[in-house]
Amino acid sequence: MNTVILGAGAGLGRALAERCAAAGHDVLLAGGAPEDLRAGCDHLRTVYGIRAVAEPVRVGGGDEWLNTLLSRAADFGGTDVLLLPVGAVMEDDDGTLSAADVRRLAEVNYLAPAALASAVLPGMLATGSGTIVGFGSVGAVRGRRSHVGYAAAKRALASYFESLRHRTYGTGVTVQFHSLGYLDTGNTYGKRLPFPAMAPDEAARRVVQALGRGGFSTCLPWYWKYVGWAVRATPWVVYRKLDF
Amino acid sequence: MGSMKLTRLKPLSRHRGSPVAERRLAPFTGGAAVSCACVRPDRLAFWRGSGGSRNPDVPVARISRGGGYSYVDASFGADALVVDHARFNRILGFDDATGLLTVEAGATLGAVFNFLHPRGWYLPVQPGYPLITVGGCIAADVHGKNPYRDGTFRSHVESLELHHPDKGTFCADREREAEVFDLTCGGYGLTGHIVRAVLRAAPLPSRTIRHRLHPVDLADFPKQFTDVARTADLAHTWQDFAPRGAGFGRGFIMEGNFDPGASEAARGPFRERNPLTPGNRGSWRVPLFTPATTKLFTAAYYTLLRLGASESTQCLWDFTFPISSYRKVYFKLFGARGQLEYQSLLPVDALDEFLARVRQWLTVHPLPITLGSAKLFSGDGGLLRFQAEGVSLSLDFPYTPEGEAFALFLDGVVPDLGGRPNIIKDARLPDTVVRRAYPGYEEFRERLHAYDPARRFASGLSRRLGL
Repeated sequence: MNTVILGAGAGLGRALAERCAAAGHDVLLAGGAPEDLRAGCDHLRTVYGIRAVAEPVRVGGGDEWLNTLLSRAADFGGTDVLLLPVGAVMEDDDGTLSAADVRRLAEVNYLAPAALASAVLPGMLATGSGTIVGFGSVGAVRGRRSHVGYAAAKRALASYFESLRHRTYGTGVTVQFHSLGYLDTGNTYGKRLPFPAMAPDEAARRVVQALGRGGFSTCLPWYWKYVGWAVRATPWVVYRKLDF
Repeated sequence: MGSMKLTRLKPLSRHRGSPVAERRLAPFTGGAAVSCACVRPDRLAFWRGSGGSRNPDVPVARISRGGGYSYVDASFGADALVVDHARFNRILGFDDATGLLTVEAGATLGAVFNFLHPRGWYLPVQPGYPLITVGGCIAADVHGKNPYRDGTFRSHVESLELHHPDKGTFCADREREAEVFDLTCGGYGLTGHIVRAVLRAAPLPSRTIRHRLHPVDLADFPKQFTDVARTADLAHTWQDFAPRGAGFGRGFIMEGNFDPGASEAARGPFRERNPLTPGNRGSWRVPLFTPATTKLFTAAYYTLLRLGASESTQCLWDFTFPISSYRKVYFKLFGARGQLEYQSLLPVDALDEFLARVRQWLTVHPLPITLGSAKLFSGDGGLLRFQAEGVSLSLDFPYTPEGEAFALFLDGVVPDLGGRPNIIKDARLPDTVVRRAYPGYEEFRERLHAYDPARRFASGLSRRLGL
């Protein structure tokens, strides 16, 4: 089974690569610094004996990255599973970012994963098999004061995946979407968080476990589902005072 | 004393793209915690480039940190940026013809074991807990279960990739950059960040250890122990120094030999369940090791061993990592205040005198000795390495004023008898003792300063020892 992971250099993407390799998948690691992807491939080949190749594309700025990656995936033998943990945050994303930064956030968090999914989908539909997995954020359940652009992009991605699920119903192609709470990565390191950060490896374990089981969406960890309900249900007169 | 709390993050500073957090760190076995600036990079770009940080919030000096299992302040300091290698833990390559294994410094011994073991290889030198990192083993030049035969960890290190902010990233081995290679193995992280290492594994004779217990003959202990240790694959003692009478020092020599004839043991992978961490070691606030309870515990364990089978088999994981089992609760029994371990390496012919002086002291100043364990050593490590011809004896006791007084007593006895205390085991060991006990102290200091005049690397340990 060939698995392509966009955003595999660190964090959840790296953990997903490890779990997939442990499950016997051959992996194509994309989107990250060349040295990180090379080290990732060396590790996975050495430990699990699977095929692992790197394609350090940088998403954005046109379609060149997409064409490069698709070509690499074709050489790799096609895509059976597409995992899209790619994402980026900016600390000063409070609604005052420059246009370039707004575009960048939209590109990395929504446009790039959607573009890649769109490019891979026809092949999966033709064979009647394959899995596409997207990753959103529980922070996107409602408009908020911080991470404005990031949350908007992730909400767009969530909508895209809901539509993809509808589109692929009955075709044999599986679409899944995981909304993530805090993960213990560089984005949360050292921060005082209202809830514990989940280890990326644990999140990856659950995602890979879910691959063969169907189902569409989860929150990781599970309780974020109820946190999300509470956030959405909070009246504006209360919500506007929250530093969220 | 001894907490691992992640405290309030200041408006985020960054160092080479990684956020800097303030954390309170303490030695694993307890002791005063200090607030430290910490980073946990997860991208190899962190090691690129040279020059120090321009961020005024970030300390100029730095030090690497692995699992945090050191008993001393070797991987942190109040005025050093702590660089956590947790995310640099990959196994990068293995040559099954030569046994050469390439790993990042944050790779744990447990991960390395699980990789090598099913392939029929192992690392001959390993300390007793699987979450200790390779980088930590190199920096402290640790020993395993048979230092006499297998030497110390550096004997199995082929090469290193080191990063220094002023010198960049470079390779060092016994031929290229031999000086810094020699300084780094047992250099307590003071020469640079170990990014990756090539280790030489050995073919695994068997996955099963035949375990044999020999009752200690106190009248002839040094000879008895050295006779066993010289021929066994693995050998150490467990001894009870809690009794003051005839039972003082009773115990067993634990001999282990690979058993090629044994039926195939489990290949793993083995897991460390409910890991012991620097953060949870002191979670049992109230110490359960008191003079009375210690005598009961050690007497019970002695009886258990005495009544149990004198021969048994163990899988290599259990023998290599004895703390990876119910025994990890041992560390929790000291409570939040923790323990001291005084490990001394003494000439064989000084052992009897040492034990006599210790017994005399403990008779006058009662102190619960919770564990005593001996190993046989050979060779001479030089510099600040815990390696010489002789027998090491570890004594564990609670970190109390009485315990500190006992350690102070040992500070005088050990150098008097031509021995040396283990620098990596005692967080209060003063520099005066180290200067006296380690003939290589001045040489290490001079060579370190010649290599790194700006002294880019520092820790609580290096400050305390005047390095």
